[in-house]
Amino acid sequence: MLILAPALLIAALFSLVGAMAIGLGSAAWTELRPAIAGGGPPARHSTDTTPLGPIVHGAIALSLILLLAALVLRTVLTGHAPWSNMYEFNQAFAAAILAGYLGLARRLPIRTLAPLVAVPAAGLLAYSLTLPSEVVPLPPALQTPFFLTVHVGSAMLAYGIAALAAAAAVGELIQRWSGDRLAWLPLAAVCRTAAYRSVVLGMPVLTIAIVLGALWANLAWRSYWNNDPKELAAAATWLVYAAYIHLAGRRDRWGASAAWFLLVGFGAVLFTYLAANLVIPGQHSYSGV
Amino acid sequence: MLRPSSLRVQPSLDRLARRADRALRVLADARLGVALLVAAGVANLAAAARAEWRWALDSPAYLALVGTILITGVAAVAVRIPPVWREWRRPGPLVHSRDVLVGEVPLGGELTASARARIVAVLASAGYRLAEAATARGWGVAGTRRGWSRFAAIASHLSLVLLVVGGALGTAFAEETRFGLFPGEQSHLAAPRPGLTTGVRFDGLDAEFDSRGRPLRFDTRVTFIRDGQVARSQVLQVNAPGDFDGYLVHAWTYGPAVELRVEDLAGQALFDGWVALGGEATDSRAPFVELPSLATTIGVSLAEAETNQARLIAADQHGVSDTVILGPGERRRLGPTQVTLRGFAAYVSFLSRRDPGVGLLFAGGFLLAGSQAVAFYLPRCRLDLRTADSRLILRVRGERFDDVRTELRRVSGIVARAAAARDERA
Repeated sequence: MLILAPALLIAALFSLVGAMAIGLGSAAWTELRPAIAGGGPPARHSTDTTPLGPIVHGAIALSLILLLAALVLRTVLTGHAPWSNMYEFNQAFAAAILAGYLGLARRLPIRTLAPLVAVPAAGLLAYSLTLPSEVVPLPPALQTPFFLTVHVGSAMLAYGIAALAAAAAVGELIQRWSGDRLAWLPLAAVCRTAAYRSVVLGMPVLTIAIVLGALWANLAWRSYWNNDPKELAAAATWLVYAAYIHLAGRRDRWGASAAWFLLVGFGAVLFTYLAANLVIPGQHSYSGV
Repeated sequence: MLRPSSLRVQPSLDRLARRADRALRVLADARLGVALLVAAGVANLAAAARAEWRWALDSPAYLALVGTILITGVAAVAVRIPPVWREWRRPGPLVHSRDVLVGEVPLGGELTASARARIVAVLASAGYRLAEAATARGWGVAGTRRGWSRFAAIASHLSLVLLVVGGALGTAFAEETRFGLFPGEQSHLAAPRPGLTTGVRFDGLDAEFDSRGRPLRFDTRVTFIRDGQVARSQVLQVNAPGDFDGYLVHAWTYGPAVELRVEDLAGQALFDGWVALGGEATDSRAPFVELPSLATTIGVSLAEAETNQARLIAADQHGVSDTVILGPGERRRLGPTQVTLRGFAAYVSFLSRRDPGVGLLFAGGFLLAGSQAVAFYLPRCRLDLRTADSRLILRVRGERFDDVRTELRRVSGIVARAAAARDERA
């Protein structure tokens, strides 16, 4: 089992990198083929896939299956939810991104977003493989299965959904910039819908993560709010997404700027996750990496 | 009975009402809310990034910002409640816009009263709250499914009030007391005051570490006392503080201690009790013993952890006068005293806290998360059904970005079946 888990992770990473390479290659081919053939600009696809889209989508699904298997193995090895340190959380975070994408792709024509979604997931997995993977006992403060599972788990889900929303926002901004002419991306309106749906799915999850975190802090750290860097960054993240929700439905200049809020929001998520763990010392740092 | 003259409103009052209404709408404007939320977000992010900027979150400016966010939230609720309530009481017709999906249900003939009743019944059983309207142009019905979802959106704004009030109550009235106890000692849970009879006794600490010295377990055994009587015993853990008479009692810090007996050279006991080890005074348990009658202070520190040996230093007004190293059970002369090291144990510093706002705050937090989940996961859907010539025009509208094509197909199907049932009977 000790060898199987990293093998699954490496396979998932290869699958994701393959999805990225094929997806971006296919997108480039879709864009450049008419120019090479001497025709006009590429026609918009009537479906939401590029020629190799099903392979990319399949590779993403395969990565998720491999990741979930690795997480189940990790749970068996450690005896607790697989997100107690950054090695585990990175994998769960990547799995949440992929699961969110696959779930949303069942309802919206966003399959051509796959390469954009694969980038953060692959980055997280690659980073995870550089971190120590040994199984160590949980420090006393983390020995609460309910809070560890639900508080950290809901944060992980919310982060994954935020990454998905950011990928959709990038798609929307690129399409708006190109005048919706790029065939290898969903239309800007579709990206906008996908982003909003992602955020409204993730917002209550982020809220419950913060509320449960406050409850846990009240028990373990004497007060529900300690001005800890991660608490402050999580509050900032929540405020940015709350601002986005108030903007997203508008059809004016304010509404058009909503996509930028998603990029700022995901930046805040990364700051909350990485900077508040690695760079800025605080109460959340005790579990190390 | 009211006469028309009694309904007349003073122009100045009318003007005031109009201004108040305008002010309320300005405050409820989402753009203002966005700007304030972004400002608060930036303040929090800056405070997270730089510890020296955290003072800003305690400043009056930040409090004013939070207060303004609260006011805009309440204003948004005040502006939205009347239309939400009206729609709940009597769903209105849908105004055509690009978000409205339109479908048609062909009719075999005129829609009879019984067919209308059947359509209303099936739509009601499909979850729609309906209001019929017969006009000169024909019959129609407007409906809302999950109309209560909009109340959830209102509740999510109001939950901010609970959060802020809970936080403010805590800031104003929370009390926190720290005290250090050696095994067997007890203390009140707060600063002594008339009527306070609750206390805690420290019974012992069981700690466990792994081979690399990482902590695995801190179990603090305590007994809670009320009116001088034992109320209950409990094991406190990092995530499981004691909850007694409204106080949360945390075992806060831990440290080694020695049990020491100090006598003068004639055998008269000068001190018999616990002394905390360590280089600093922690929670009023200083690592030394003052002996005023001998003008001497005895300091204690850990000399050798492996063999459990403590270093004792005697000092007077001229400086250090003597030093000894003792193991458990050993007795030696130290300056003008005889000291006996009876053994090692641990002291625990406790923190007891009572926050009257915490219940309200968490109620607000859970209300916020729950109401968001309801508002976002179970969005309302509006419907408008009108007769036009020999067909029924069906309009459906969801919330922002909702895809209501499936709902349009579903409703079209059940309406068509209800209408067809009439045709078969005819």
